[in-house]
Amino acid sequence: MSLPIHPMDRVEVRYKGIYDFENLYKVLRQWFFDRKYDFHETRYKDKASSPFGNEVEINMSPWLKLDEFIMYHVDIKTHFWDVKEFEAVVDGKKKLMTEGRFWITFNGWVEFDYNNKFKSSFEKRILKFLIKTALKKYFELKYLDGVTYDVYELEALIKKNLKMDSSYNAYP
Amino acid sequence: MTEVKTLCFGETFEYRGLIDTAGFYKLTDKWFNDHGYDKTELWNFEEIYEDGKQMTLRLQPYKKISDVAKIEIRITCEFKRCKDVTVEKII
Repeated sequence: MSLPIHPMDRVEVRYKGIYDFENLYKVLRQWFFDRKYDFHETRYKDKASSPFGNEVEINMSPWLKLDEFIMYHVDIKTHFWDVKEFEAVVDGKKKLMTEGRFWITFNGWVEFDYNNKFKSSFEKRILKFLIKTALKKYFELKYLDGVTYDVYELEALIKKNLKMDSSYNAYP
Repeated sequence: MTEVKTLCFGETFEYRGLIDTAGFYKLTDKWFNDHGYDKTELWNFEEIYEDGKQMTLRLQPYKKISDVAKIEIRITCEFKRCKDVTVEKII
């Protein structure tokens, strides 16, 4: 079994108002495409649950193989309620906008030894000791911080797309 | 179990009036970055209601001071009934 390490807490963004759903989705996909992440959409659910609008659930779990030993994972869960689409004129152009409320959660983690090269229990204990104790600082600085700031960068991009006031990110 | 020592708890202040929310967030984020804190943002909610915009932030930036200890600051901000206004800044 591989060794997963979760360096960060789950980040949650909630929004209620008018937004461009198509652009939001495009921005997410493009960000992962630019960073060469492999994309996997684990769930796409759209149901007409109430007269107020549809309920949409999209879960994504992209991953990036850094080398033969380390893999980044970013888990994204979204839930949209009261989704109502309407046409609006934005900057002189007709656009399909969406009204409703939603939350998005981001969670980044790192998987060590995803190829299961360390098979025996002794080897696994050695691996755990190296990653969590002996080479902790090296892995923390090089890989765990990497996935954390990747997630915060993506979160800032989403907030910028939604024109939220808190779209600034001081952490490069 | 970890040992948590709370140095100050429940320091709150309220304000009503003109505020640059984007500037406030930028200032907070930049301050923590400049002072060597790692970012942890648990909540970031923004909801638009009929009587204005409502924002909720929960930040928990931390700084590791040694291999066994870290400093953590927990901040919860609530902005209620925010309405956009344009003001002229005179320098």
